[in-house]
Amino acid sequence: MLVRLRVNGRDFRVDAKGNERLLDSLRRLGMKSVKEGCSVGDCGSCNVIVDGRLVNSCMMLAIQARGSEVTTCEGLGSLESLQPLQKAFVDAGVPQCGYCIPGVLMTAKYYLDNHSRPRVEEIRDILEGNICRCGAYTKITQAILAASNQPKRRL
Amino acid sequence: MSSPTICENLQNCSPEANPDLWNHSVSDKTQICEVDSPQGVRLHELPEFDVYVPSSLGEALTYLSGEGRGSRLLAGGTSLVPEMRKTGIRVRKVVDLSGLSDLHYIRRTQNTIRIGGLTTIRELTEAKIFDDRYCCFKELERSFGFVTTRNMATVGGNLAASAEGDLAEILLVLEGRAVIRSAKGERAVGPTNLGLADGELIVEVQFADLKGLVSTWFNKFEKRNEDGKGGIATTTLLKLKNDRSVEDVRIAVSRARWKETGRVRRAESELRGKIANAENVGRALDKLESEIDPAGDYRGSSRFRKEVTKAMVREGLAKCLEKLDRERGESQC
Repeated sequence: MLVRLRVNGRDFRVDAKGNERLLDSLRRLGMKSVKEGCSVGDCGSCNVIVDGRLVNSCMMLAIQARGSEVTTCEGLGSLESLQPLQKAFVDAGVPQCGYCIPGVLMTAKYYLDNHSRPRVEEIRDILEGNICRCGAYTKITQAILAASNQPKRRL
Repeated sequence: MSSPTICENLQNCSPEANPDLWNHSVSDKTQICEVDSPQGVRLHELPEFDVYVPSSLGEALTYLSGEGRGSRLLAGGTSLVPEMRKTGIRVRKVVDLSGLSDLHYIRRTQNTIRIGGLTTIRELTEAKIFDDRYCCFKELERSFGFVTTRNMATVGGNLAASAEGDLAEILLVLEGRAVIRSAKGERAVGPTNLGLADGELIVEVQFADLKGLVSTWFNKFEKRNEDGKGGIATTTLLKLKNDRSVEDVRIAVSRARWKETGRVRRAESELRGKIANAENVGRALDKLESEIDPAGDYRGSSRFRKEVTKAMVREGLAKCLEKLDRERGESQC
């Protein structure tokens, strides 16, 4: 089945089987930031933004995302030109093993896109859906707060 | 009546305060562990299946009654996909309902609230149509899975996936019905006895709009908001007269009887018609304790669930009372 997707501003056509998840399609398209963790929507490593909604790409079939605009971590910024949110994560020394970080960044972007005045309690609440085995939650929260002081349009 | 926090309510359940609660006896039938304990979970590959994408509800129903017999329905995907991964069930055909925009709505028509089957939980929690009388829906934002789950999961999907779900419990208190449609016709049933047959799908849920001095609350107790099934949840509705006597009270709890979500009518009767104060609420809670018989599992024994359920109903009633005692229209959920 041919599925049309717009990923990080680029149009793609994916020939996907019925049981292909959005996670698999995105990785096939080279978006390797999208990580498979628990595979059942508990850990948040595969989080991406689909039409403005934060979703677990391991629980969404590719066919369900047909015609959608998908944002992954690759859509935030490049190594040479980090977005403020990514830079805040680096400056705060957030990543340890780093496996969960792309999913956390997507959660953070979704949160900042929808909350003009971030609060620590809200950030902690929303991070409940992202498991970080390294336990970097304090630094993640600090980084999100730091990034929120940046001009919003650049996040 | 002041509103104790859930932590205060649960102080009596700590191992220090009440060691008996934590002493599990092998002979106690309530200590039987479920076979689906997390230690036993092994994930399977997704089976190969064909996906049918209908462009309208009518098309979906026609397909389901014909060549699509035996299909599994996919709405948000938060139940079906994990189910396939965890149980290894064989699925050959899936009908993707996610594109049926005519089932995305929340409307008030005359005295009835109608919610389309594909309305997401996020749409439900953010709906402007629900004022402070419907705090039970707004509370789902705090306790229904993660933000991703709320963005994906749908009203119809949650009801169809499990009678133990949060929405079934809330609809029990609102005395709502699920409207189920197939190519043969339509029927409306209570939220916990859907009896969905092949070819049927939930198109709508509906309930009478709440009127008067009334408030609702939804409470949930679990370590972490995962799929939400198997936790302890309570929903309360309190309607007062001007003299603060209870005109109506409805209480639904998860696992009222074994694993069935249900109303606790004896406890409700105890409180109905009385003045809403701590003493009368306490009597109703004593009735509730003798009325429920929850199944124990690896998350908590039957006795633990009983104590927590009682504490949560107390908190739910206190929250409703707080709201009703405040100026109407100004309180925030």
